[in-house]
Amino acid sequence: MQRPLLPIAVTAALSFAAYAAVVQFAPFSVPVVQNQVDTNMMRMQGFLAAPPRTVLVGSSLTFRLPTEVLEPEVANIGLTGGSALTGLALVERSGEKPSLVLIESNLLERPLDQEAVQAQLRFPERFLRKHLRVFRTGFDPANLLWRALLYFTHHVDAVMPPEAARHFYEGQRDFKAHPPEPVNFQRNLNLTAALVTSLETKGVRVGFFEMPIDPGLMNSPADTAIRRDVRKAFPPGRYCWLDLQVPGGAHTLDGVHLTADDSALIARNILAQQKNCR
Amino acid sequence: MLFTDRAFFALLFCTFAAYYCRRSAGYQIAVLLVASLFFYAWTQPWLLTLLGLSALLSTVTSYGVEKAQEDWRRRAWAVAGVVINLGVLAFFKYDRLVFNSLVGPLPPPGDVLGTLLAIPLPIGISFYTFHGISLVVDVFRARQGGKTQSPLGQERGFLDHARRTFLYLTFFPQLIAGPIVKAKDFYPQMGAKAFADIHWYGVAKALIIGFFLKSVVADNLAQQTGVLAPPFCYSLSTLNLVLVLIAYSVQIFADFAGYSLIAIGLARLFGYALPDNFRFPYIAQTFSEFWTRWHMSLSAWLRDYVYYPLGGNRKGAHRTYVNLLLVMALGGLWHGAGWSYAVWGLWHGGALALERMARGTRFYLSEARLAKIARWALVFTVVTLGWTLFKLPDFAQVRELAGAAWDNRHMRFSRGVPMLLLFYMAPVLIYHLLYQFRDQPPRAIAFLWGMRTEGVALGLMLTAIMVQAGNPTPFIYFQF
Repeated sequence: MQRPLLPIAVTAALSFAAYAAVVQFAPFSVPVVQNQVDTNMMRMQGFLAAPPRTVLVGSSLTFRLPTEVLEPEVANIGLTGGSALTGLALVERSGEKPSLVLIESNLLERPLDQEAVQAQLRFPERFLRKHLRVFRTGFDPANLLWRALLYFTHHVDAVMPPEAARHFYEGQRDFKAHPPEPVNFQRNLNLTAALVTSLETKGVRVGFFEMPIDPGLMNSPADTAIRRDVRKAFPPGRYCWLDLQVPGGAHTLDGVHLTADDSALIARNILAQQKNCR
Repeated sequence: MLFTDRAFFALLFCTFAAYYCRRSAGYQIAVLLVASLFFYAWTQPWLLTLLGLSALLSTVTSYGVEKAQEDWRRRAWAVAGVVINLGVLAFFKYDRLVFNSLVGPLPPPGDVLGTLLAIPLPIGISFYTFHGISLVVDVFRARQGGKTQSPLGQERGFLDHARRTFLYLTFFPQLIAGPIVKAKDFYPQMGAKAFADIHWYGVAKALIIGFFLKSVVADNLAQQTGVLAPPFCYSLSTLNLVLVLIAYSVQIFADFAGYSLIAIGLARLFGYALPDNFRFPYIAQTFSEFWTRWHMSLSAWLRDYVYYPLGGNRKGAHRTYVNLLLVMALGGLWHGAGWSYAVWGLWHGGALALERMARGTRFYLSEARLAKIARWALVFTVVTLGWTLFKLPDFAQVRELAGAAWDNRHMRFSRGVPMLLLFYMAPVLIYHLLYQFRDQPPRAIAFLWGMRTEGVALGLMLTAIMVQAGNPTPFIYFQF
């Protein structure tokens, strides 16, 4: 004799409905998530849920710019481990029309993550996420636990041990010792140009910015080549370029990611300068 | 195609609908065959050529073994079948390893050799070649043993044999990552199936637990265990690294056991029984017990087709130790074309051999609870340390991880990440603990073994799949 499936179905339906109701009506937001992939998805979903006037697209360098300084006027689609191209493609394909899109130029050699963009724009997920929190990244039980943990332990930005910082710095130095692979980089520049043109056709202004990094790495072969080629493809006379600098040189955790203080400083700079680009 | 892809569910729905339209073995085998080939060709259609060729060769050689009247002819067909399958595996999987080890750095993919060496590893090749070998050997053994009943069952000629063999080798639930099912267990199942015979509860249970282990446990842990790789490992204290390594141990179990259960559930949906692949491996108190609980279908395959033919444990102690080391090293290499996998196999082979030497000691004979816990801790520690070679197949990275674990012993323990790890590991830990109490459950938790409780637990797992699934990652065993 077969066991009945009804208890499984009833339990699943009731527990899902109860959980969905709790997260839908509970008076909290989820500012932090537990891992890189979720963090990226949350940034993309945040833009799609309420598109602001200005959008930053970039990598983890941009990701660290504090949203509490930027929002609500500026959305930060900096993707950790990702490319500015992914955020740019999301904005272009979403159908949303912000006034200004600012593109981080530092790591444009990284490829576009098509799958990540499609996953955010697919029906019915996009529709469900817009209306029901339970389908949004960040509202899962583990993330709520993580958020509570950080709240109750008054978590602060973890201090990176010197040995780890040294390894990360050396890794960055080695990585930046060579210019990017020319064929792929050129393909990325062409794709960026196509997306920029498409956005401009829709009436969206596009600008660029270079995130400051450790002064010892600013003029590495990779950075020099990328700076030269991006500025050649998107010349400052034709496109708005923000001038972001930290007086006395940027302070970083690992050579490229700014400290919390410098991140806040750059975020305020962006907030002030972006108005000139609109 | 991943079992978690939306395209897979569409394929499954169409296949299921078509499959039960007509109750005829020939028709149903054809439907499954088409679905399996479509499933395999989804991302890299050109791989179908290799799969088709490999299946055709296995079909011809196994048919030759089945029909040959003379002993020498039968033996020749069997040798040809085994050699061809091993050749395919060696050429496509181990070519770069052999070239790197014997010749040097790989040539650029401009000339013929470079192009051949640049061919990526065909997905599932380790599994379908092992199926091919099992087929030829099972038929050969049955014929040599004078059995009148062939493991291939009732057939009506070469075309029927080809159709059945192609299904055996390409059956989509187990095509890419097993479980490895022996020919003698699969062929007799190929008959007409009725919709009314589906065991829905069994299907639901296997699929829910499988997807839960994969999506909720393994995929979420995968986001946390990446820190084992340098340079991230330098930022964690020794204790944190140990916890992450334990989490990886749980992740690899959840990933593979989850896949196996999904495969078993899907096969049941079409009326086929695949063998169990995992049985609470982390409760094992000896290494030999561990290998009867972990990836059981591979262990059984290696035992039947390699260890026993080598003499097993029948040729003296020293030969047994050599056989264990050899079989486990080959088993390690089967997992991946890298010397680190061979070392991983030797690590287990060495543990099995040492355990065999010490099995008469008090440590192994004692029934005291403390001794049992010590034996379990030993097995779990050795197995978990061995997984570093899976996570970091580059020896230099393993060395760096070990260095970081030593250097960071005075670093402050971080409480945040371990809480998350425990949250994700809890279902697997509870799953293993409950099994310990299966015979004599404590009164306070005896209700957990009730029929209703299981339904409620499965319902909650289903909810967890909906609200807590991690970002889908490829199954770890897909790379093998």
